[in-house]
Amino acid sequence: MARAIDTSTFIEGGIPVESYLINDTANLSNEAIIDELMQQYGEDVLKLVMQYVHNNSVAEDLTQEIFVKCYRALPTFQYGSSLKTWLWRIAINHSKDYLKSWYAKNVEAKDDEVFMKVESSHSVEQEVIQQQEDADLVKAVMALPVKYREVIYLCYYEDRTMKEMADVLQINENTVKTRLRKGKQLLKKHLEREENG
Amino acid sequence: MDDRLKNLKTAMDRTAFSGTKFTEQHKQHVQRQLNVDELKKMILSLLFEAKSGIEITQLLHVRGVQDVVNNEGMIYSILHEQENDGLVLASWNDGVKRYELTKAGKKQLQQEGHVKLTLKERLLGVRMHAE
Repeated sequence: MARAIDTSTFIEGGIPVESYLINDTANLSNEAIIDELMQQYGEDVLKLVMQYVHNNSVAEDLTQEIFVKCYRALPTFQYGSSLKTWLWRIAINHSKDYLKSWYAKNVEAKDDEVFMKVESSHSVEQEVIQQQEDADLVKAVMALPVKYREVIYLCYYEDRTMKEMADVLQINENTVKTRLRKGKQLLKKHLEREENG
Repeated sequence: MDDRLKNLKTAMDRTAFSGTKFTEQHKQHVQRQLNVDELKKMILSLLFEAKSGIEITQLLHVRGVQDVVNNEGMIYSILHEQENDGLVLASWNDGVKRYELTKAGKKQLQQEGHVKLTLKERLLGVRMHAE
């Protein structure tokens, strides 16, 4: 099976994960590809989902579903984009579908674990100013509306370029820039308000 | 603002993401799910001609599908599910319940690319060569 491969893929920890994955893809079963993806990106996907849903067990369930979804969709993957980008798109869409679902809005009245964790972690070590500042920052970011939160997350947590962000979110690069700017303004306002009382 | 955001990764790992781990258990859960998925497809691919549950089980045994060796009940629950989804049609004949692919079942199999049908097979709607 000959597949055209985009070589401008990601390099993680110095190892070009994609290329080594792809070189052998012809010989790899779909199960093995999913295994490899879980090995390489399981944690990153879980955190990405957590950023959307703010609940650990929901994020874990969704992440597992995402890999199953990937497996089912693998026969239709065109190898025109990188596997990682493709995985991220599925993860982002799946998370947003969940947020929009009737279930998420009506049934899951769970506590927001992200905020709980942030609270508890700084109450233990609150003598350190830096930690207080970290906690404030995370809280402010996680309280942003989804469309600003996701760009801030991808930019500052995952260190993505504008182009990559536009790619995984499937929106225009200029839209990414606008949302990033707006997101930072909102953050600044929020943090200043917090610090001034 | 930019300077503070540069700290976001460390800050989040220390707070919001503490305890957020993709474990071996999660991995295994996905792998089990994939196996069930494979099994579902395999069962569908056997049903171009009507077969009873016992025949399906035997065929899967011959192929050495590990998941069903000690868990034959699984086959019936999958068949039941597929019947409900309209992918297979069950009919009683001489006291034996046989299952066969419906049009929707054939379509799904083809879409998954699991079984490549020749043009002739597609026209006739039958499978010419058993695997």
